[in-house]
Amino acid sequence: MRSSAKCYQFTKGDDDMYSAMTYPSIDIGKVLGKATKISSEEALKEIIPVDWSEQVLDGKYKGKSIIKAKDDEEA
Amino acid sequence: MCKIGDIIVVKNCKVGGQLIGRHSFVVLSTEKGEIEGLSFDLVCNIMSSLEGKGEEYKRKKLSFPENMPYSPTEENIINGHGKEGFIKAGMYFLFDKKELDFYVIGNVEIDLYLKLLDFVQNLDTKDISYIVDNLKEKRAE
Repeated sequence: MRSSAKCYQFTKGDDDMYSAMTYPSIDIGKVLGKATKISSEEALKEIIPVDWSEQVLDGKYKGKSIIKAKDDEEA
Repeated sequence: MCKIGDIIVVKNCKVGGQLIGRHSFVVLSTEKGEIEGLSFDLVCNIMSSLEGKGEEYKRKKLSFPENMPYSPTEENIINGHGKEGFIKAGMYFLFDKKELDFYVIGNVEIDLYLKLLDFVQNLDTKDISYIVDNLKEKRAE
């Protein structure tokens, strides 16, 4: 069975399509209702920033639709 | 503009009122909300790298129940780094997009996103937290 997430093609302007189709939203109110507030200092103390390539970090793809389907294995 | 499942890089993350380096997040919600009188319209989990770290470090980090590992094959990024890391699934950063300097670099695949949602369902409430330091207080003057 093909995974819809891996086989979709995506072009600029198709933003709503992928979002509505596959990614369910979470109930933020419910989540925050049982969460504890912490400071960003505490939150970030053990976080190591992800080491993206310079091109990615410099925003080369800023604002562009860069979601790509994986090279296929057609089912 | 960003959407659920997107990976974003935030350039102006604040810690103690000071700007720090760039951090990556997974977008979970773009719905408007308010908490403690602060408005937000973006909710994210932060990503952390495990690259270059030994097995003991990885084991320690992943022993925390709120840390969900991911493999580099579970992102879609052009020129992506192909390295492993984890997502702080139990920690919710609240942002106001108007005040945020960020850009979208890709997205997590649907399988990972669903795993993320599921992961949180099984967390104890003591392992779930939120951060509002990046929200601006509205002062009535």
